[in-house]
Amino acid sequence: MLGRDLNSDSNDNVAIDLSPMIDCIFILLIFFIVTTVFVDEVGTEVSKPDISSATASTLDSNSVIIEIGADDKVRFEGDIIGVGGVLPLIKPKLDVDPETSVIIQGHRDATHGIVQRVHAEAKIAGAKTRSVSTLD
Amino acid sequence: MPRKSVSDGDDPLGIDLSPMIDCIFILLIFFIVTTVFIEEPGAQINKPDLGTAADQLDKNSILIAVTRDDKVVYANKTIGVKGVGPMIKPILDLEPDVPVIIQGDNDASHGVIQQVHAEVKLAGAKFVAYSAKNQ
Repeated sequence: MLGRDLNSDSNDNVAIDLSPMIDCIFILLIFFIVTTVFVDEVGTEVSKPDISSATASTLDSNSVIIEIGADDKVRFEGDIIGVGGVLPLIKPKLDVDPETSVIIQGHRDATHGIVQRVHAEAKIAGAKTRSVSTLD
Repeated sequence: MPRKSVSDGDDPLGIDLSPMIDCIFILLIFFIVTTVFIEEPGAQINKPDLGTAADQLDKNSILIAVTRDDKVVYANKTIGVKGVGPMIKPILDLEPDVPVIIQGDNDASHGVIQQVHAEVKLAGAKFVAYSAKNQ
């Protein structure tokens, strides 16, 4: 630098060789492209009662207990209401008391899809406290 | 190759790389921002259709799948109900707020899903959600 003439080719001396940096960025870029997965999950939050509080909430008179049998039949107080009957059942109760909790008790052998649809119906009806447990 | 080996005459051959570098930087930043390091279960799941009740779930979550024949799958491995706790406990110890999403098949049995849910709760998860079909 010291011996160089400032006017003729000083600009070339300050030029930085960018190729190692570009290589490095390329490697990073390829790594992130390869590892990127685009997750797009939809669903519902489901709460499950603790074993101790399950009995307490069952005793709560302000709760609606919907049972789903091993045959995937949706029952309320012994009557078969079906998935479509959940919303008309819960809605009037929620209009009276918005804090009514909905407890869904599914049999071990009930299918997950039916239980989830009942849970979704309860959510659409506007129940704030919903819990899903297993029927013994 | 040194650019200035011959005094002049090869200056016009030098390509200006800066637009390309800008472009690559933008791509790089995009991928850095969108990358989430999650283990996808990698099982074929026919998720229940919940219509409007389904919300968008957090992208950065632990995903556990339960298949139609009641196998519990995590990161391409069948782990069983008892394997859920040991698998996710280390992750939840590091990041206690990471949500857990259970991808249950339409035909999975309720009992197994509830056992998995109990294991997840026992491992210390604060937020547990069930996956639904994407609209």
